[in-house]
Amino acid sequence: MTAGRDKEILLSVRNLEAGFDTGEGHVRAVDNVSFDIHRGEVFSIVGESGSGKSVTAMTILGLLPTIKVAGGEILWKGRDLLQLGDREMRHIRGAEISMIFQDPLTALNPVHTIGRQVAEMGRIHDGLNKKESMERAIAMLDLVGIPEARKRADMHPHEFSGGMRQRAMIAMAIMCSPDLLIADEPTTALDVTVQAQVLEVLVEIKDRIDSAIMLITHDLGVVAGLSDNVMVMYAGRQAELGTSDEVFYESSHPYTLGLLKSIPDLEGPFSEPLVPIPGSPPSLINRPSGCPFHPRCPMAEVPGRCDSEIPELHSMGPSGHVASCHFAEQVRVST
Amino acid sequence: MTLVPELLEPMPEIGPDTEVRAVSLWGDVWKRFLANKLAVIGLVFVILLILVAIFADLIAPYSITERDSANFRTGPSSDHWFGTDIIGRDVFSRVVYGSRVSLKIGIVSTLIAMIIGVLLGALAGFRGGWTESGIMRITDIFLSVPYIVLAIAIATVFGRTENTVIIVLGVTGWLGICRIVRASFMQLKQVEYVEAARALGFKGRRIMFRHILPNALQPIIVYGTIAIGGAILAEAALSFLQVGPQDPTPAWGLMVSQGKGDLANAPHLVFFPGVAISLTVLSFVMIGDGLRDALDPKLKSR
Amino acid sequence: MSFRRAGTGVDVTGPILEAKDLVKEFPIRGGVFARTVGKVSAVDGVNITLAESETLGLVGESGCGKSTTGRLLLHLITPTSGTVEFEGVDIGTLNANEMQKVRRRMQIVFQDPYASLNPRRTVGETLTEPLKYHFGRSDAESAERISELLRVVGLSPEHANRYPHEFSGGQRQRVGIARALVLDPKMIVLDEPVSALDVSIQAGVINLLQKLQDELGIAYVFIAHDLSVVRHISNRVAVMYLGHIVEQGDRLDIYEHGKHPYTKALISAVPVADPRRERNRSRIVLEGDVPSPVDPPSGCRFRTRCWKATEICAEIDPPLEDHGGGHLVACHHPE
Repeated sequence: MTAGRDKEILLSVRNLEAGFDTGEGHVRAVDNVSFDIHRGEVFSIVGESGSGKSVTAMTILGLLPTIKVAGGEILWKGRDLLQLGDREMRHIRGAEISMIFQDPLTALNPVHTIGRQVAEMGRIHDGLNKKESMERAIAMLDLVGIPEARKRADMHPHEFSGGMRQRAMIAMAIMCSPDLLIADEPTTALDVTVQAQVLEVLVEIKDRIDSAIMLITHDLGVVAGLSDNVMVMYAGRQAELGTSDEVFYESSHPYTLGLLKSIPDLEGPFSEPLVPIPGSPPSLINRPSGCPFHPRCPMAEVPGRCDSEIPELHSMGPSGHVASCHFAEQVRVST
Repeated sequence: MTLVPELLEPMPEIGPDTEVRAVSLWGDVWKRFLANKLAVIGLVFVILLILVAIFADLIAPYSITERDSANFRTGPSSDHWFGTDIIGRDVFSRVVYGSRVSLKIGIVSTLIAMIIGVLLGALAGFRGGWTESGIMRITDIFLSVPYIVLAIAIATVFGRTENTVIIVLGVTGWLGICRIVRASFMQLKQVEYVEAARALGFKGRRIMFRHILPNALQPIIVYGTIAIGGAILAEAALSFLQVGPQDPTPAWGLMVSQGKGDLANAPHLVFFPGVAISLTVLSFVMIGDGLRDALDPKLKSR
Repeated sequence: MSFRRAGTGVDVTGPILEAKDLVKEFPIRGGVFARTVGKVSAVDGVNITLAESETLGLVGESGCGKSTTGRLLLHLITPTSGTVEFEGVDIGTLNANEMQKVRRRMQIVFQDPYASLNPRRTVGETLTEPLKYHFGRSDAESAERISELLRVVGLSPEHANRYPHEFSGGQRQRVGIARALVLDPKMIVLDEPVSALDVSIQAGVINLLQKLQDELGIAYVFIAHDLSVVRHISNRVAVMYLGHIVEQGDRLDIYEHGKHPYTKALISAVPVADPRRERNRSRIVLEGDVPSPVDPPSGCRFRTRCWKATEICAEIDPPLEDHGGGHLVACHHPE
């Protein structure tokens, strides 16, 4: 059991189904997804483009007006967020659940100073006055490691470097000590040395304010370094869910295995060939029958169960490790 | 050098996401255009106008010079649908024949302006440096000359005819499109597939006209369509000022000018040619707007 | 299937590319009349040699000048000073026609699969055009060659009639590679060729590039920020920082015996997809951000973030020194 599972459950997503209509048909972006996040935990959602990971996060906060939720529940501290009205959601966004995005340049308003944008959170959610919120903002900017925070608070986003802007976004997100911080590809646009800095800040902050982090990324290295629990998504469904060790060392879904084998290593023997996953991610409008991964799966039984039956989530053990593959056990053994 | 067509992995599937419509890039545009009601109305009107211009002989009951001595300055009647003018000519027929004048001037002058503007804009945008500065200075010079003055000057020298108007409008109308094309080329010359063309050793002219221009067409088409409307309006203004074709040519602007003195008593002399001008210009503008919207959702998907 | 052999890339017949003291300055325009008020040295004294059939990895973070260097090598940008010798000829001295011929043998593959292909041309047209232009071949004559090329890069000959928007990112990248191969080049500069692709697709393209090198003997300059990918594919690696090469050597030198503090920090910052290794790692986290190339620090440019910096580092910009076997380091306090 890893850290985090013993504390209370803050977020419980059950059988979430969400999608949207396009000119070409209905896109099922999130297909029967369930997971829990505990206080203080780092929960990572890993997937490539079209996996549905970002949509899942945005749906939790109700940030995508075009998304239609077709089923399921999103229980935040017991309340179903899907049943809440707009006003109630606004109280939760920023105060209890915060989000930071991939590109801080577009997420920050170029016209206002950083200090003012961060302080705004305090005024809206906690009712602080101008002075109090600015003081707290400066304290937050300092907390995230921005040097000379007081001076910098008067600067505008374009005067900050990429890493600093991302830290400013984190400062903005933690102003009201949220219990859950959703980070959507927070370091993808950053240089690798800056990425290391920002991830370090995230972990420090999490411990400091005892919040949980839901980290959305495609980078398995980032996931390995930070996560307590990991969910791998493919074509809108969850392929595998478990602790970090379970997903990396006891992978029970061919997609997880495929991803791990296709990444070049930083250490280890040179020139061990990479094993790509053939084909490309499927269209979410015309999905493959049965298991969405079967057209690319090296061990698919076709014709057979794999192209006719959608796999259930198989339990891989008492700890809650699950994988949606008809042959999950065989996959795990082969790791 | 031998190429061994051996694969390290199976052929990537030509699955549903590569099976996208084999229709070319323009098929979609047409569909979107047709969905836009105003644009379609404009298009219908212009098509009708063109047909009217072509078949004017069959449509107009009278010639443009024929006088009806019984009816001078009379309002619309069953004989003369749009009434008659001061010397008894049928306004309807004149308006019908006038469509030829407007369309000819509008389209030819716009064509000239577009050719000049696109060429200069492409050169300025692609070459940069002195070429660009030079061309921009020329545009500045043209901007500072009021075209009315220029028109009158040219008319005085070359006579007041349709061709004079075409020259004036062609020679002054390229400024706007030049700017737009220059901006397009400046932006597109940085795009990777243009860099690839340079890496492949293609020379400047080929890159400009075979690689960049086809991708810069959208704003050009939109602008050109609306510009025809603008040219027709400008022609109307010039004929109104009596700088363009003279009587008996039934240029709509001229007809308005001739009728303006009698506005109180014979408003039909101004009304019908005036409405013809407005509807024509409006139609071209609506088509242009429709094209812009239809072309806008990026043709390169994803 | 043939795989790469680890090697040092030393070639007996002499390098096919030799770039010396490359400098590229970009003017900064300011003021009312857009006058040149200063300049940025994007590339400041870079030397590159490339042997036949070898891969030189060029790594660094944003602003280091690696992309500019790549384009200077192909003379897609003209250097402010310095020379580039390709197959023994200084390409800066060639006239337009001669340059055109040389261009056949040096090509480029871009990062962005969506901008690298002309959307108004079918794949077949894009591939046939160079053959028509340089060799006067007709469509019919080229058809067979195009089909062969498409198959080699893992696509199907039927794809020749399709437009770029009908392909996925990974497939477009393959078309880009096919285009680079059309004229039988001896050298290809690859500017972040897999960075914009999904992880599971990257492996396939990397394998393809290696296979092509093995069979066709093409040399690569592989520009990337992803150190794991570079390690996998390169024979030699050069690390750049703010326009300088700070360390250069073969794979082993850089990844296991890195001597420059920046190299070590860079490698330590890369997350690895292995939770146990990640947990046990000690990571070097650099202070501060990359300084602006407009106003670089005096002396060694890395000193503002270097934990070893002393007085001499502020005074003298350390030159590249050979530490044995072609392992070059520019540091006053190398390991």
